[in-house]
Amino acid sequence: MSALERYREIVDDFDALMDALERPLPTTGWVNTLKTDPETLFKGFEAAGVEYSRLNWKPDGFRLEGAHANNPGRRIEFLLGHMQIQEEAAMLPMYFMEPKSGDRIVDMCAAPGNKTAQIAVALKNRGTVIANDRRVARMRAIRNTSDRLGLLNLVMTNCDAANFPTPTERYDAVLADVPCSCQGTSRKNPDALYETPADVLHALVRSQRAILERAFRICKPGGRVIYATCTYAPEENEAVIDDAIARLPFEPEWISCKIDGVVSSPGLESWEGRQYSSGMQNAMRVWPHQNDTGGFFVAAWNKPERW
Amino acid sequence: MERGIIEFEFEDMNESVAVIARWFGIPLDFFDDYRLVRTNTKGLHIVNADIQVENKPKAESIGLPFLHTNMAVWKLTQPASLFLGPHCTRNLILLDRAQACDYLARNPVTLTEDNLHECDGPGYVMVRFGAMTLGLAFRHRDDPMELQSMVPKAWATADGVDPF
Repeated sequence: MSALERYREIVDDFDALMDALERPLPTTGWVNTLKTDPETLFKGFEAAGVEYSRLNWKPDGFRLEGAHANNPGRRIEFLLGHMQIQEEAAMLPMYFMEPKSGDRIVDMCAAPGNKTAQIAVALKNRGTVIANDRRVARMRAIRNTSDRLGLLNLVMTNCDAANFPTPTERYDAVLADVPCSCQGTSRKNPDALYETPADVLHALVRSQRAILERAFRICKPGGRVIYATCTYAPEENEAVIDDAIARLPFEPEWISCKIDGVVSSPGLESWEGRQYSSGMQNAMRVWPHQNDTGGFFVAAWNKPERW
Repeated sequence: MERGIIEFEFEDMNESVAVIARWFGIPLDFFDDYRLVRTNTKGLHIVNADIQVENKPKAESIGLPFLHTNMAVWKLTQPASLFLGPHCTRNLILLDRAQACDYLARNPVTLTEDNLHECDGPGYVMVRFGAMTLGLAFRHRDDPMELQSMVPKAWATADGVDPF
């Protein structure tokens, strides 16, 4: 746990954080409204004796409880694609996407495809969702999810997100859910708390910065860019954003990332002697003890109209 | 290759879906919002009509696998069956819970006359349990009271498992 000691001063309740990390991560998911609706799915849960509670910030979101929480993949609702299992904190970036019918949206680092699926479902199987991932082996997971959920508006591509080609017509929104040190996933993968070697971290940060900068470039003027990680490290969050934005020829407009019903902390304006943009207070840090989830970081912007 | 939006040569919808629509009692205009794309020699994928695909980066896959065409009798894929199932009005079979569990485990299902009200004869049928479409099955001409599950191995449940 020493990897977390460095965050003691920026966490609102460090002891509560450490306690939360000792508990198993709740099983959460959402209703695939392409195939059913929340009331029908929840009635089915009740008829089958599946214990659940609804997420207070997401009408189609739920948390499974009791024995069914251990193996939701065996439920008929999962097999038929009526529901998708996804960690609650990982559902957050989509809240800020605000997609409109017919939009063309890119998920630059899409595997395993849960956020891609959220976007495709929100578009009601219209428009275009580009699910890109650099690693071919991980694209099978996107394929499986897409087939089960019945996604028609998905285009899978396989390229390095940092070098994503400039499209003929730039995209309405871009999600840069970048590869990271994954510290926030330690409740399901305790190895994530092992300290990332400096050279690996350096390479990660460079890649994250390049991907975010690319996200801004392929987004249309007035479009939405979202940056997300599942790590606490300011080097991979606030510092990456600050550096990427400094390299842009425009100043993106920050979106306030707050959600009623979700406890969160703002992004940091300084860390270990380095000052970050004051816009960082619009970013969202979610610590596991705040909502009994994993850890997550989200920031969102509108690209200026004249770029 | 110049960058640009790919103009797909969409498959002729009428030719590809007319038989399916007629057999399963789906209005042909249901398919007006969709297009079929051939992405490989094995089959066709279905996409929404307003999808736009750039030629860079190259699309590795588009839309939903729809129809296996590299066989004597074309067959709907499992994702396509789940997509079309709620809209089918003919050649439907409603299973009871025990039958549905067998079907999902890819075991043969013995039918009764009660199962066959919405069927025109041997061939493909859409399988439901309650309001849920479970997928595709086949009734052979020489044994029409036995249902052959078409659930792919990767989608099947283990023997004896009740996912309901």
